[in-house]
Amino acid sequence: MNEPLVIIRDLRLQFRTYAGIVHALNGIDLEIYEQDVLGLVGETGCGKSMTGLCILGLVPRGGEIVSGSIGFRGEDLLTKPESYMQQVRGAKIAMVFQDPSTSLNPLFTIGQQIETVMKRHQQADKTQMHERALELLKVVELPDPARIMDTYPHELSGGMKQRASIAIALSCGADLLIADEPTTDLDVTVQAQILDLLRRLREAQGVAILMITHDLAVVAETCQRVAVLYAGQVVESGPVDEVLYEAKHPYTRALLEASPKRSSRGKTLQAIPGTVPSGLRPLEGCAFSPRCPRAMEVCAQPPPRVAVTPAHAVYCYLYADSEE
Amino acid sequence: MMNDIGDTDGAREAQVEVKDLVKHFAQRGGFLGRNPRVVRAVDGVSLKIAHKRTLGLVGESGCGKTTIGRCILRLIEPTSGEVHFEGVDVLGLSGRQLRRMRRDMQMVFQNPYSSLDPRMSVLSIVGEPIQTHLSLSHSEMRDRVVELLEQVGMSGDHIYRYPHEFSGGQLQRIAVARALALNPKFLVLDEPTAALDVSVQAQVIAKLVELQQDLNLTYLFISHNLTLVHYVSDTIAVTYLGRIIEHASSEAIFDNPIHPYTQALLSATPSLDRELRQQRVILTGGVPDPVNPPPGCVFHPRCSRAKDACRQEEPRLVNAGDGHMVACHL
Amino acid sequence: MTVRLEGIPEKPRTAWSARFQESGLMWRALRRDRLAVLSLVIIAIFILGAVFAPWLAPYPDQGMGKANLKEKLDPPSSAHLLGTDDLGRDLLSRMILGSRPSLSIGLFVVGLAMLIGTPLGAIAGYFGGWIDQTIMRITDIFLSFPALLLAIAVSAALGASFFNAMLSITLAWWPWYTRLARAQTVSLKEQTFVEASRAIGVPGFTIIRRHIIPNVLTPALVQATMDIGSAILMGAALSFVGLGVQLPRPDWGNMLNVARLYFNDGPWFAVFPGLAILIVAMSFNLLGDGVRDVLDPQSRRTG
Repeated sequence: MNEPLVIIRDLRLQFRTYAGIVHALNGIDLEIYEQDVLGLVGETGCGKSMTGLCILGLVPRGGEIVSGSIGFRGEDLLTKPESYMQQVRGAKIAMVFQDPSTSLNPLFTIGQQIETVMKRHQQADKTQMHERALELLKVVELPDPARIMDTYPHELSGGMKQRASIAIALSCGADLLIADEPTTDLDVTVQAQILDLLRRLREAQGVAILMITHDLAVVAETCQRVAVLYAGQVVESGPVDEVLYEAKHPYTRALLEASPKRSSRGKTLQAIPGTVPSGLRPLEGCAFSPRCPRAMEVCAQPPPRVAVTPAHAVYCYLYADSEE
Repeated sequence: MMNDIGDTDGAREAQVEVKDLVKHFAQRGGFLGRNPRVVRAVDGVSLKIAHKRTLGLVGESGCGKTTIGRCILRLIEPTSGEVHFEGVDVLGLSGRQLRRMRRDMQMVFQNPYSSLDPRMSVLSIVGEPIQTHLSLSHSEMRDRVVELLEQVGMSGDHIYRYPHEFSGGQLQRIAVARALALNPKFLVLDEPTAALDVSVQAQVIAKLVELQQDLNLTYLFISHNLTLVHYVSDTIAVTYLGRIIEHASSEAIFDNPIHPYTQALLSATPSLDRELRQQRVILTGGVPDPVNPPPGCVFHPRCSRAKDACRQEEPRLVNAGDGHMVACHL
Repeated sequence: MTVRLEGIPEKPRTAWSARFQESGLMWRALRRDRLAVLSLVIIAIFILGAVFAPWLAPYPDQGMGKANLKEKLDPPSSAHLLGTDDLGRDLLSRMILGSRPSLSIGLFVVGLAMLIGTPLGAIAGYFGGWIDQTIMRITDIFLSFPALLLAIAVSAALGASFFNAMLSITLAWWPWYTRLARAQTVSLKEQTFVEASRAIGVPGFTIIRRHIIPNVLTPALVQATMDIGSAILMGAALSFVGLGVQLPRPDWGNMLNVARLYFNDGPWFAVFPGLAILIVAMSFNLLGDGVRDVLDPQSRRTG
């Protein structure tokens, strides 16, 4: 496997609120490889979106990164000034949001919006930019690109809008595309189109994708590698085929049991007892242990990273012995 | 009963019966509203649900599935058609009769964060139907609310809390408790887990299945997620652009989908099943505007197998054998 | 980022402790807004001053109008902290006693306007159709006159008195609450919890009483807090033109009216009532800002 494009180590993010300090991310370790699709999966509040925003240097107000590093092509983004990050955003790392109708500006045509982004990051004359924009709309497979250039967002359907925002994200040749729930608001048949497009873009454009989603099935369909998040920590990561079909961590397994599958028709869905910790108290030990059917006394200590295979890591004491 | 729609065990009497339901919304358009447009949200839907059974109503956004649920409960007045509940003509009821009828027919909404009044305590929320329909003393009502909360798997200690203190799954169970307060016979479940995480979704689904057994409930389960619907439904009706295009037992829908749209929907649904991952039919385009539905079969512009007949004549829902109803010329 | 507290084990609650905890949280949030707290303190001081005015005023009889012609327009001194007015009366005493009509006009007008306006707006918004049309056209008629002009006209027609001044200002004020409540109701009506109540079979008026009005009350209360300041200003304006509180009884407005004639000889006579109006009106405005942030249960726990 090639070199990692992004290496995140021990990323910790906290928020100050009226209720106290909320521990949003508790030591995230991640690698995103070149031309790879990494799925970041977890339930509401597990910190998957926050991780994406941290990479872009867009921590919401009240949040503070208290430790860790985000290496992007060998440089730690967390030490860079805002002016540097503005050069990175859009040009090297781009983002696709969940709701294309709010991430596109309703007052400008699609063509104008693509060109605005290009103007910020590239030296090119008007005709070159126009041609490049047309080409991008072709790349995202929008019908009749010349007409789409002059349309406003409200004239497009949800799926077309999401295609347009992918075109904007790709406009400056970014190496990494962060897609935060890019198909959650779309219909199933349209979702299939967009996922298919993203899959092919990775191959054709050579862009790495960080796919943030709550849906394990979306991960199974689009990603090569996956990291499962729980309470601001990675609990299991590795190739999709290993993590989803030979899951080790009790949380990954429970999540899989709770997800509807066509092959397990007629059986009941297994609920996970208990609720996600609120994040108001600092984590000691494994965050999942209070809900874990196989919790042991030792789980009160921070779980070790166990390599199941060279690429498949699980953070759990259940597998700690096999390593030694 | 030979030709009962989707009725796979013909002996059962339909508890809920909908005939030719139509709902058109008028929408102002053009300069100063001079060109009013008609949105054909529901365009001739018929279905039957047998006692203690679950009908899953599946479709994409804009297919009218939510409107169908609301029309059955008369939260929206249908434009035309018939709705019968245990033989009673629901659409013919007066305001007062309708309010009495609501004791038997209840609804659970999609988003529990907005379906519960943020300024009311759990006691007032779950107690509201009791207060409206029964004359119970305050302490009797409180006991009943505690009992209902325990029935949905929550502690009775929560009655003086407010909605913002609960997680989504807990809120949805409170909403279910409210729907159960008057011992209804029929529940419309409108995407009850769409706003919830998968682990919580599993909790709510398990609870709903258990309650159906214990309380002899009939469900209309509305969802966009075909895989999920399967866990709760006996029969499934697939809707497209305000029409039912296929209606059969859930086994038949999964094992032998006939309509090209159902096939595409099944294939487009992301799946964790490895063996299903390769085969894929990807439809082009999106659902057409319900203001101007295409002529003939409403699905033909996206259908790869459309022939001339599909462009001209709208197919009727016909029995393809064993009560497997499908509206397709093929 | 919203934080939910479900993870924290809590003792079972009773109805009272639940309410107590809610208000405790509100207070905690309000306390962070320094300006709002300062305004609250200022308002509290003024209200206490008004309640205990006869005991606080150093010369209560002068405050109520007894002339003291020996000390006309004396500058501030140890005997008269804020100086004296054109008839030699202690200005501080008149200010303290004059706060009573000023503050009560603010509270009365806004309270009554809200009481009339909010339910009407909720009814108009919830039922729609001809009910909506009728109610809203009536409010349009009232709103088509400048508020102060309407209040002056009505007050003059009813006869110059303090009570008539309050009534006339209320008359000019209630349509704003109807508009506000209607706009809120129209969006609340689309909320699922209102639909859920209809699905339960709750009749329309009960839905308005139980779900609409409590939810409209939040923005109405914020508006009201800010409006108290403006109502005080309008009350002062009526007194200034001689239609409100009648001399020799004091009111900040009629004091200003007399004081402007003596501005060169005793500027303090005009400055202090004017300052009082300014401070009170501004305090209510700032408090309103703070209250708006606090009363929203969603924003309360947000960082």
